[in-house]
Amino acid sequence: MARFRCLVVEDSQVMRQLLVFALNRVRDMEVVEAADGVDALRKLQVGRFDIIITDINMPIMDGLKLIKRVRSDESYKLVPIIVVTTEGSQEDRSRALALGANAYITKPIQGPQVVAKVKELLGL
Amino acid sequence: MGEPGVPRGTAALSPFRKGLEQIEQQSATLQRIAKGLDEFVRDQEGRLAELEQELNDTAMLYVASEQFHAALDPKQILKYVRELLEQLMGAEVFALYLRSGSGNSFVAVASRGVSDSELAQGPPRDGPFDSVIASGRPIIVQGRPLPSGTLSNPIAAVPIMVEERPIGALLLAKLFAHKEGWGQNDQQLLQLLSLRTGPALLAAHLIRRQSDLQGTLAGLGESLK
Repeated sequence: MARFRCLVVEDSQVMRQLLVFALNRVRDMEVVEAADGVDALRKLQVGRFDIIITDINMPIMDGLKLIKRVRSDESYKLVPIIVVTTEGSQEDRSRALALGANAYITKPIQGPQVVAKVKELLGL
Repeated sequence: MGEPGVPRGTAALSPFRKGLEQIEQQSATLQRIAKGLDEFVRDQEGRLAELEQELNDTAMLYVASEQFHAALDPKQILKYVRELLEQLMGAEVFALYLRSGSGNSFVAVASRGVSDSELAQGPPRDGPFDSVIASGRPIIVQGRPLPSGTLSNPIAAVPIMVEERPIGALLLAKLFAHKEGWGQNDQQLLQLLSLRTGPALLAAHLIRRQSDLQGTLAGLGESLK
């Protein structure tokens, strides 16, 4: 059984595949995919997750709304959240961090950069 | 008074000095070994980081390439083209034009950051677009930071090829503000888009037009016997 579980919330299939590939390189890590915020909330309700990586611009429920919902849930109040997005402005970054994101990475991403941040936030 | 048979003064310290010298020598040797190990570990960490980066780059190209082979719907292929440009390359403004009809006119089939009215005008002619259509070779502006361009004066103009013939071109005007210039993989991604988009769209288009797909697939096996 995996020691850590990571939820990747991303509507782009290309980006999801890349993130999953990179995160599967972390030892004892199980990666679960969600295509939008609503899909993510559904998966968060039925499983335990140690870290969440989310995009911002997504259909149905965007990443900012998802962060807000996750932080209002007692069981996920302290779970690290990494935002991975094309939105590079300081305003977007501040908004995400103010809502409770722990890290903000702009696309295009480098897999090792995301893995390093995941390890740092999980204390690995 | 000292005891008989026991050396006195400096002579008494001699064995300790020798022992101390040996310890110092061993310490120096161990420090040399530790330094060598540090260098080795640093070297290996650097190599590991390089390998991780290479693996990431290969994965990126694999994922990009896989999408073209997996999709059989032209709209899906265009969606992937947009995703590759936005998500993997960080392209903020671009338009992809394909030849329309038998003449020399082109129509926009995918874009980002370009107004409908600008797209409706077709590609800007007598510039990089016509050059890449004529030559089949890409034009890619270099520099760091890379200046913002326009569709008339793009930072990259890339032909969309089918059997070595340009059937259209991608004009890339601007990268995201937080991306200073081309990344390590971008040239390869542009080449992939240049060579794969056309055949993938053409194959998907032919499949879409084929009403008897099962019969066509059966015929494919026959024709390859």
